[in-house]
Amino acid sequence: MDFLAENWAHVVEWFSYSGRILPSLLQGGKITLLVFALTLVLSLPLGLVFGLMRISKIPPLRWIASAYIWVLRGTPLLLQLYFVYYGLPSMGLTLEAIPSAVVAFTLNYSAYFAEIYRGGIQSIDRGQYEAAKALGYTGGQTMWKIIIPQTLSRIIPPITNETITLVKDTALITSISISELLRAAKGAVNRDLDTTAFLLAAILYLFFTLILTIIFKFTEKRFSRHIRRES
Amino acid sequence: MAILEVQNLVKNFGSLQVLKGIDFETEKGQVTAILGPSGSGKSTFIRCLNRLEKITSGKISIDNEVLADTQDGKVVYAPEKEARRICGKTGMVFQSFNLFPHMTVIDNITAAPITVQKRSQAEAEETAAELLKRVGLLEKAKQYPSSLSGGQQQRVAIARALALKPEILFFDEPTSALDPELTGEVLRVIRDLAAEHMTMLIVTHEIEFALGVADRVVFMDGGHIVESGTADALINHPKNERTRAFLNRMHEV
Repeated sequence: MDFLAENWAHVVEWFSYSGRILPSLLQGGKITLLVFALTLVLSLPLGLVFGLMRISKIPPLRWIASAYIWVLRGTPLLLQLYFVYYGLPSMGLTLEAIPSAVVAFTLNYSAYFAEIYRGGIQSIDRGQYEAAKALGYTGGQTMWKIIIPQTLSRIIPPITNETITLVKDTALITSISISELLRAAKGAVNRDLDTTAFLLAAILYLFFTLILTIIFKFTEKRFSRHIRRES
Repeated sequence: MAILEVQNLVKNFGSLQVLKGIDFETEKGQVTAILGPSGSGKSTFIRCLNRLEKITSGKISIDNEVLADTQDGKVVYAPEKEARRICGKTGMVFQSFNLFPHMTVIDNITAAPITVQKRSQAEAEETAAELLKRVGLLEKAKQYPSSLSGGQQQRVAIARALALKPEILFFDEPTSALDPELTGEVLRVIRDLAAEHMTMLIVTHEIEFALGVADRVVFMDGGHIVESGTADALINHPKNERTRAFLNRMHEV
């Protein structure tokens, strides 16, 4: 208590400074959130497409998906970002910074999600396909109504991991001059010679990931109702 | 009139021939038990009948419709949609139940009638409730399969197969995955079906059960049907040496 009393002025000053720089950080946070949300919404279904292609009965589809996954997982995300933003214009396709970021992130994350889906689908017992076939399901009905619903409880934990990584990877887009959270923080630090902004940025990232963790926990529970837990 | 006709059915897995020319027929309402040592091809045989295995050569007709035939040494199946419709006259009960774990008991039973046969939810649920009553599991309707015993799961699996109103039911060792004290409840359900003249093909190791329920017993060994006859004739008075040896071994257990 003594410590607080002696340093009260500093504490007040710290909070008032934080309050002054917070709006610009939140502004950056909005961009971070935007790139994050768009990437997630686009890469989850795109990943499913490549995941299904990867295990398709048609060899060329399998080859395309394997090559896609190999390239996008085998090169740095930052390099892919540069390629879309700086490289594509020379091929006649110029995108603004934020769309470039969304495109690069979506392609990259869809490759990781594809592998998660593939693993989930391949973990389902062959007996499930046989039961569906014996009941007269078509291949498509079997996939959508029997197999994929069963994979949900298994793929949500690895998808949660990737999603949390995505929150942090958004910091990379600062390198193509997008004013996201990290750039906003760095701006404040450089201007005021005070690292408080970094601390606040860390708190904001933690807050995002905490919310995500809670949402995914809830979703995982919802899709695991059928799994009996030993009590 | 034969509801199922099989002629010279051959099935190879790679270079291994597991079925070496099976000829088989069953009448409507007939209950056939298929006995034989493991590796004799009996499970593969019934799995060929609903396309779980693709045959190498031969002919299969169900209810006078050709599912697969062989022309110039090449197997030709009915077009996918037709084949699915023809196989829709059959139902199958598996050794490992294969219930859908993400669906409740009642949803397991209504799913295929709704998805495959386009019945209304209300109609499907009504049928499912009747079937659950018949197998004695109506009070489990809203539970998930994981909370049921093996015997209960297998009874649900039988109800699921019956919900599509098949002309003929295949059982692939329906009690082999069950604890001994749970086989009785499953065999009882099958006996009730036999009493109602459901056409059934049952691959089983339960000799006493086969004797009690089957009109006819087929003994398979080494990919051939070695002997067939009435249950009493084949089990109590087997003619073939291999049948006799098999039954002796089973009695020793």
